[in-house]
Amino acid sequence: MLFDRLKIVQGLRDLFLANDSKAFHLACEALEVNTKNIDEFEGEFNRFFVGPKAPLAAPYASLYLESRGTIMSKTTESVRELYSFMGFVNPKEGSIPEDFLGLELDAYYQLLHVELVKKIDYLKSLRIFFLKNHILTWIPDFIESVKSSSKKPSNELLALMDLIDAFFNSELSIQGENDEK
Amino acid sequence: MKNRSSSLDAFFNKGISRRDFLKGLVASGAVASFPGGALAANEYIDTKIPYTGSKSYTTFRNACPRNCYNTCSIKSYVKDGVLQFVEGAKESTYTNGGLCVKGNTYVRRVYSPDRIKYPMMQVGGRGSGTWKRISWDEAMDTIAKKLLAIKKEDGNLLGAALTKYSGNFGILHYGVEGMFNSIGYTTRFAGTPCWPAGIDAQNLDMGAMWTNDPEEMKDSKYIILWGSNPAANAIHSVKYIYEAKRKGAQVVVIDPVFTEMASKATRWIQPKFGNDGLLALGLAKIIIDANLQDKKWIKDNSIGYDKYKAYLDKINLKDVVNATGVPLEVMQELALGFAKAKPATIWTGYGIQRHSNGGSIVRAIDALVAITGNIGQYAGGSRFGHLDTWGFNYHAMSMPKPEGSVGHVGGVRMGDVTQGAEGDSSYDDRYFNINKTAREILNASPKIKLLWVACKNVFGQDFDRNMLIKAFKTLDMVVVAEQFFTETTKWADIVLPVTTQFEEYDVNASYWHYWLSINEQAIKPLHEAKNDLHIAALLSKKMNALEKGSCTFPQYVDTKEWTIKEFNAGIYEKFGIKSWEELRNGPVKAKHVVPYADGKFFTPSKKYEFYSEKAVENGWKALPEFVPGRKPYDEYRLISPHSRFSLHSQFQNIDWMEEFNPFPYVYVNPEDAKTKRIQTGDTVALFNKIGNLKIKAKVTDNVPRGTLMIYEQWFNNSIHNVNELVDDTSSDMGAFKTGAPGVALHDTYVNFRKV
Repeated sequence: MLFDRLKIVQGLRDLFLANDSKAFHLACEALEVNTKNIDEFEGEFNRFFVGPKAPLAAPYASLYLESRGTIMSKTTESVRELYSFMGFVNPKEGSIPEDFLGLELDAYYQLLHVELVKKIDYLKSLRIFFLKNHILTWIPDFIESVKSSSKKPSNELLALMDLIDAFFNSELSIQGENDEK
Repeated sequence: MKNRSSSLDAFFNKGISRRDFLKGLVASGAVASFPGGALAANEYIDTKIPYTGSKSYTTFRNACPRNCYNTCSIKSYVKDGVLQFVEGAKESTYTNGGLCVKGNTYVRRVYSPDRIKYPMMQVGGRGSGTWKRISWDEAMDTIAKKLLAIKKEDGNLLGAALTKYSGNFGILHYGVEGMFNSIGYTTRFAGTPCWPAGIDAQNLDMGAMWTNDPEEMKDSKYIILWGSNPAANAIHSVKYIYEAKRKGAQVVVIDPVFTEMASKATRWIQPKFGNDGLLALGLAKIIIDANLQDKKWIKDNSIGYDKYKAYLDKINLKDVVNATGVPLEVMQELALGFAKAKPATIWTGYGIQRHSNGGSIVRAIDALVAITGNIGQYAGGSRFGHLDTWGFNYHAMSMPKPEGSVGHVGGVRMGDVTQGAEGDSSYDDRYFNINKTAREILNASPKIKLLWVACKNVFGQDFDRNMLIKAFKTLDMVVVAEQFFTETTKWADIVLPVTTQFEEYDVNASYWHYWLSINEQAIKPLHEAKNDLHIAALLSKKMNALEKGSCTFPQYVDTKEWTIKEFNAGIYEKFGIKSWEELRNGPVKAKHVVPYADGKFFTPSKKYEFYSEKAVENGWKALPEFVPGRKPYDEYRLISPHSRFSLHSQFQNIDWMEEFNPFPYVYVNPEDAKTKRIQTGDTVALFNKIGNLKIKAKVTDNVPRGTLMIYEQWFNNSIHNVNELVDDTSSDMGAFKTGAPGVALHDTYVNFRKV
């Protein structure tokens, strides 16, 4: 269970940060994505979250928390501030918004790693704050936008959404305890 | 959507201060234990509050690089590395602190979640919609290998073609041509879809395309806006027209369509389509019959007037009335009013020359201005456009061909702006007519194998969509550098994300006003977007790694340094500045000159030529004679002018524009709607010999009977494309100065029915 938590969030992170097919396929393997056609799933994932056509459910918190409809917003700034207190810097600040799901998953994974593997829980309260006061304020709406998209998501994609949903809800119920088995 | 905040106040209200928290963070060892990822551990945490947000804006100078009369000078406000808002630069009396409805959306364009963010490859076949992410390295590797394979297979690179036009008119973007120059002799889609017939007409008459400063119009006594609609497409010019009107000037709009500008004029005259040349000749005849021509100006400044007058003598005004539908008394009032007012000016819109007889129309209008002595006059002039302030170095395109390159023999160079140095080789690039893209691809020998599209939405702008699809299917590889997913990217193999002007350095001049603007990089490139020059440098690096010496483009480019390289003594002299850095204080205006005020024209005779031998050499009439238009080949004329919500195919996809203008419409005259039993909101099918289009109808008497109108636009969520119906039939002129004729796109005919 301890490593499942890390494995899931790492896999999700790697999926949303995958910059080519190889990285995408590896992330799918790690998450044990059950699909008959991985290339088709990659195409669908890109149609929903990446592009080049306007993504059906762009994975940026700003789009779900604000009515502006653009990225690099106040939400982005507020997540940047959070990261700074976590001790993170975004090497691509100004290019990749801090509230991009890939970066949020990365932050969550790294925080959890420090707690679970390195046994340092200094940032635990901030991680839980991040989870409750930010991640869970937009992820349900994001998942809903995938499910209610004009293009019907495949079962594989719905399963991925369920995994994200289950992961963060589980994190909420665990409340960050690091010694459960 | 909810408006919730993840403000840290709630966290730090629990008793620990921000400073103490950071002290503890350093001591905890947490940061040193991060496993690593996209976010890096901050190695330099100190107890200063790390991020509190900037309190003030940093400002930058930018310029709108779109293909537009306005070329607005922009002031951009950036905070925390994010573009917050933009406004028109107040230093330019033309932009005067304002932008247009489109320019005001720029922040939304830059930060649109719809932007193309990464290099991607279409893997399910062109048009399949199945895409995968690839790295820049893989993209360049794929393209470079294809280019080298073409060279190996064919012995030359003529199979590699570039089509690029006005999606970004920044001078540094001529580096795309530079990139193609740097790989060898290639194929170029050149010429211009915009204004070639008019360019030729003005060159035949005056030896140049050169126009009076639009700001002078405030002092004009009589303004004819002939087929131009600045209220929609050149908004900053309207204030000068209004000022003239307030001071008592007549503002006459001549347009078959009741445009936004027509609604603001003192008079709107609605001629039938395509016979504007005859109308201009009729007006000239009335002026000369009334002995109101400027005899001194004609004597001092022109040749061929007698022949022109002899031609006018043969014109029967009744024929003009019949052909144009303009009553004689209206023509008389217009002609005499124009002749008696001085200074008087005519602004000829670009749509008027997008007819099969478009060049001849512009020549007839030029002649009307000339006989009244208004050419060379302050606040006068026959206004069409200019490239007078475009004397840059074009360093970005000045790359030599790799040693030993083999190319095309006997080609005709094309383009309104040069394509780069000709060199001393016996070879040249192969030039194809940009206005016949589909046909040229299909007929090319040797075959085009790779097509690179930059600064252009081919399917939005080029003609005969169905032939284009057929042509694209013959290509081995299509590379599209874009900001948004257009119909052209749909038919691409590889898309490359490109920067907006806020993410790069550049310099911009206008083809209408006389201001010069620097474009500073205000923010970092978004996502993985790259500037066109950086893409060229990456390609060069890859090609040289694969085959040393195969590309001469530098492998490192700094857009700021390259912007500086575009300036020269001539530019500094024209704009009265000592250094480009002065532009950081705001745009500057060229020293004021009234075109042809010194009586010196650039024609062979050095005079205004009513009679042009050059025209005869090019196969046209020596005089600005009336030339009948294209014969109708279906029941209704279809015109496809610009919308105020888009700039060609740009901007309409931005959400604010979609909100105002969510659907494309065909505009139908009430009489025609009655015949076809159509009401506003009905879906109709338009069809002709090349295609068919379903679209909602809007019934309005803004369009004349027998004419349908659809704005040329690309919609984000619609397959709508008016070029489904517009073929690539040429206008009369354009080949003289731009290498290829324009397109008679307003001479399109269709039929339609209710669906």
